[in-house]
Amino acid sequence: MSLVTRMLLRARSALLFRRRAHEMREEMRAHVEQAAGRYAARGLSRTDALIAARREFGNATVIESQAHEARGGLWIESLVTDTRLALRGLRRAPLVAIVAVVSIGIGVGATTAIVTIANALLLQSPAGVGRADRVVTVGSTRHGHGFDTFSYLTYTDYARAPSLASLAALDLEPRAFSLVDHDNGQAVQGSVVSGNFFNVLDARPARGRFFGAGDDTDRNPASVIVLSDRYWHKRFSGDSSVVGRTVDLNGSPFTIVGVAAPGFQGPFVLAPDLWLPLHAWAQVSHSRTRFTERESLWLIGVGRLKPDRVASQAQIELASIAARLRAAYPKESDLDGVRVAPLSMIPGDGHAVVGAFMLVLFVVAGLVLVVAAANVAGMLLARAVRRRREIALRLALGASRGRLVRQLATESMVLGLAAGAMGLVLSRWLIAALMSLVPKLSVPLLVHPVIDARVLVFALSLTLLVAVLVGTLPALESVRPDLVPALKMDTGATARRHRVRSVLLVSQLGVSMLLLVVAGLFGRSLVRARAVDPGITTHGIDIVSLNFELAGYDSTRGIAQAEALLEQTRAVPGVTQAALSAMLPLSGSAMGFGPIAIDGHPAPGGEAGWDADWNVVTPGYFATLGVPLVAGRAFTDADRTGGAKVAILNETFARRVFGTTNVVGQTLRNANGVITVVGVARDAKYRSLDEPSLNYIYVPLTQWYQPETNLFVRTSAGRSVAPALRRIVATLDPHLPILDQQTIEEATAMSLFPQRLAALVSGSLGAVALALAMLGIYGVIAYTVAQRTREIGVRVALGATRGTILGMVLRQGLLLAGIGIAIGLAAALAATRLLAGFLFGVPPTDLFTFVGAAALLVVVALVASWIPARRAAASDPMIALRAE
Amino acid sequence: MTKPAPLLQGTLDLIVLQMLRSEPTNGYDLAQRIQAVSRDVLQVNAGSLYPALYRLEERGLVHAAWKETDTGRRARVYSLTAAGRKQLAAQRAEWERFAGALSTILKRA
Repeated sequence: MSLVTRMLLRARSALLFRRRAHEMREEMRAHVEQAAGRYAARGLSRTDALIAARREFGNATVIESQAHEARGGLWIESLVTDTRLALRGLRRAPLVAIVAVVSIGIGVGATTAIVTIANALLLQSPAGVGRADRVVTVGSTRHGHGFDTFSYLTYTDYARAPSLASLAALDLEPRAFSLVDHDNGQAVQGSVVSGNFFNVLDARPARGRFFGAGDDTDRNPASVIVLSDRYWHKRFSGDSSVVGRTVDLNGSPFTIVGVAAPGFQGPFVLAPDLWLPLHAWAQVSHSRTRFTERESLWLIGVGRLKPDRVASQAQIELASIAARLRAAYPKESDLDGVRVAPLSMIPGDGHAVVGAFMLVLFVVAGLVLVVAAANVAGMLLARAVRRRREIALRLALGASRGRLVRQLATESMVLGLAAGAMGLVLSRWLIAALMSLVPKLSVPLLVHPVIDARVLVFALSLTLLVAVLVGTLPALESVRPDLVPALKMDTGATARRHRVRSVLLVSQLGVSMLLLVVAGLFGRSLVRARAVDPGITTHGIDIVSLNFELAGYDSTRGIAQAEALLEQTRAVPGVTQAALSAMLPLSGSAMGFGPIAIDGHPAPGGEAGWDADWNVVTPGYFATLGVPLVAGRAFTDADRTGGAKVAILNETFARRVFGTTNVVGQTLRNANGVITVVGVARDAKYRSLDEPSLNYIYVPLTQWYQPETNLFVRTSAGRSVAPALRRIVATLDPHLPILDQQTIEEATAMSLFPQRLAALVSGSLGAVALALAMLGIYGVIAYTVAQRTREIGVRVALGATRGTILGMVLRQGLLLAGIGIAIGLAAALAATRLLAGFLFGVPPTDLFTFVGAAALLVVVALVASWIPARRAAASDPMIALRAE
Repeated sequence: MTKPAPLLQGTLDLIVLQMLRSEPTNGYDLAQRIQAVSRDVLQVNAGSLYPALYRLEERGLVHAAWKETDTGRRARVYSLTAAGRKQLAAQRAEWERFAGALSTILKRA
C-alpha cells in the first residue's frame, strides 16, 4: 500500500470516527451476545449468561480504546476529542482560563513586539536593496572606536580595494534643501550620494530611471534627482508625469529622472525625500573644496563585495589603504582607522548600542512571560489537584496514563494557542504604541516593524514552549500512581503537590522582584534625568530652523537678513527674547571647534591644542536660553567682521585652562587667528543630559558666519507665535524655506527618549508582574486555608483567637514572599550591574530601589493573604469540624 | 484442563490469517475456533483479538463486512484479501524456517 493511500485511508478513518466507534461497539456487543448464547445453551439463566459473557470478554472500554489505537488515525480523533474536552473543562473554570490567556498573552505580546522592532531595526535588510548580505558599510574609526565620516579623496582611494566590486559614498544624514515647483517652495530632506549608489544597492526604480556613475562626474555633473516613493505621493500625489520635469533645488534647475520603489529609503533608518549626485550638489552648495581637501570629512561608504570575497578581506585591504594614507598625509588627514561592517539600518557603533538596549527590553519582557508561566503552572496544578479524584477514577476504570496526560496537555495547548493569538494581536497594538513614542525628527526615522515569518515562527515556538512547560508538570503530577489515597480524598497525598506549587510561587515572586527592581531603576533614572538642570530654559521657546544657503545668500547678505529677521521677530506681540544659534540644544550632536592654542597653557595629553565644542550665536542667545554670564559680557552688535575676534567660554573650559573663571581679556589662538575672551557663561548640558562636563566656546554669528541656523524665540507665558514666525520668514524672503518648526520641548525630547522608553516598558511590565504576584499568593494561601479547614477548626475549638489564626495565615504568605524576595534580591544584585550603561544618576545597586521593591512585594503579599486569612479566622469550629 | 499457553509475540496475526484462510468468520467464532483447533492450548481474549483484527484490516490484509449469521444475528465477518493470502504465505514460510531451526537446536545442542 502506497504512502498516499495509507494517508488517505487514515484521514478517512479519522473522519469516520463516530460511525466507526459505533460500529465497534456494535461488534463487541454481538460478541458478548453470542458468548451469552453459548452460556445460555449450557443452562444458565439469561442474566447469569450475560454476566459470564461480559466477564469473559473483559474491560470493554479498555478494549475499545486499544482497538481504536490499532485502527490508526487515532491521534486526530483523540485531538478532536481532547480539544472538545479541554474547551468544556476550561468553560467550567473561566477564571483560570482568563488569567492564563491574558497573562501569557501579555508576556508573548510584549516579547513579540520587542523582537519585531529589533528585527526591523537590526536584522531585516533595508527594503528594496538587492542581495543585501553582500553589502558592507565603511566608516572611519578613531582610536579603534566609532563610525565616522571620511573625505572624498579618501573615498576614491578606498574604492580601489580589490575585494569590493564597487563602493558608493553618501552623506551620513540627509540634509535640508528647498525644492520649488511652480513657485511653491518646500523644505525637503535630500541624501547626497555618489552616482553608483543605486547600482551598489542593486535597487530598481519604480518609475523613470536612477542616475548612474556617468551622471556624477567632475567635468559634466548632471543636475538630476530621484524621488522617494513616499515623497512622490506626498508632494506630487503619485503623478507619473513628474518624471522628466524640471524643478528648482536651492535655486538651480534639477530634473526628476525617476522615482524609487515603494519602501526604498536607502541603506539606513533615516528616510530622505530625494537623492542627488555628489557633484551636482557641490555646484548648488558652492563647496568645491569638499572634493579637494582631505580635512573635509563628510562621507561614509556603502560597498558591494565581489562574489568570492568576504567582509574581513575588505577590512584588511581598506586598513592597509588607510595606513598608507596616514603615512602620506600625516597633517592633512586626521583619519585613524577604518571599519567595514555588515549593512544595517543603524550603522556603526549605534548598532551595538541599540542592540544592547533592545536586549534589555527583551529580557524584561521575557521575565514577565516567565512570571506569567509560573503563575499559570501553579493555577493548573491547583486545578489538577482539585480534579485528582476524577482522574483517579478514570485511571481505575482503565484509562491509560499516556492518554490522560495527553488530554491534560491538550488543555494547556488550547490555553497556549489562545494566549499566543492574543499575544499577536496585542503585539501589533504594542508596536504601534511604542513607535508612536519615537519623537518626530525633521528627517523621519522610518522603521517598518512588521510581523514577518521570522517573528511569527518565534512567537509560535515561544507560545508552544510555554504551553508545554506550563502543562506538563500539572499533567504528570495529576496522573501519579497514588490512586487509593486520591480516591479516598486523603489530604496527606496532596502535601507534595502543594510543595511543588509553593516552589513555583516562590520562583514567580523571585522573578517579579527582579522585574520590580529593574523597573524601579529605570523609573528612578528617568526621574533623575528629568531633575537634571540642563542649564538652559527648556520650555516656552519656539524654534524655527533655517538655512540661508538655500536662498543663495553670501555671508554679508546672510548677516543682514539674520539681523532683519531678529528685529521683526522681537516686534511680534508676546515675544520677549529672540536669538539665532547654530546648534540645537540636547539634540545629541555637536560641532568641534578644532585645536585651540593658549599661550602658557599647553593642552593636556600632548595634543596640538585644547579641544572644545562650539556654537555660533547672536548676542541675545544667553538671555533667550536663560544662560547667565558669570563673568564679562555677552556679545554685542559691535562685535563684527573686521573687529577683534571675540569668544565666550563656559565655566568648565575657563577653569580647566586658567584655573579660574576670571579670564576676561585672555586670548586664544586657532587657525583663524587670535580670539579675545570677553565673557564666561555658566555651564549647561549641550549634547545630552548624561554627558560629563564639556569644554564649550561661543562665538558671534557676525564674525563666524554660519548659514545653517535656528531662530529661538522666547514668548511670555504659554503663547506660541509659530504662525507669526512663518509670516515673517515668508515676507522676509519667499525663497527661504522653513526647514523645521518645533518647540524646545520637542527639540530636546530625543535626549530622554531611551530613559522614557525603558521606564515605560519595564514599569508597565512590572505592574503586570505585581498583579500576577498578588493572584499567585492569593491562590496558594486560599488553597492552604481550604486544606487546613479542619486543623483551623480544631485550633479554634481549643481556644485559638481570631488574631492567632489571622497571624498564622498571614505569616505563611509573608514567608513565601520573603523567600521570593530574597531570591529576587540575589538575582537583582547579580544582574543589574549589566544595566549600568543604561542608568542615569542611579547606581545599579540603588538601595532605595531595592528596599522599595521588596516593600512593595511585602505589601502585595499581605493584601493577597488578608482575604483568606480573614476567612480562616472567621471560621466556625463546628462547621469546620463537620466538613469531613 | 491444563493451563493455556501464553501467545508468542507476533504469532496472533499469523494465527488469525491462517484461520481466516479456510472460511470467513466473525470475531467470537474465530476466538472459539482458535481455542478448539489448538485443543485449548491457546486462548485468545477479546482484548488481543479485536485490536489484531483491526490492525490487519487497517493494513488491508483482511476485509470485514456485516452479515447475517446462521442463528439470525448480525455479525461482522472477516475474510482474507489477496494481500492477506500473500502475507500469510510469507509469514508461514518464515515461521517454518524459525520453528525448524529451533527444533534442530533443541534436538542437537
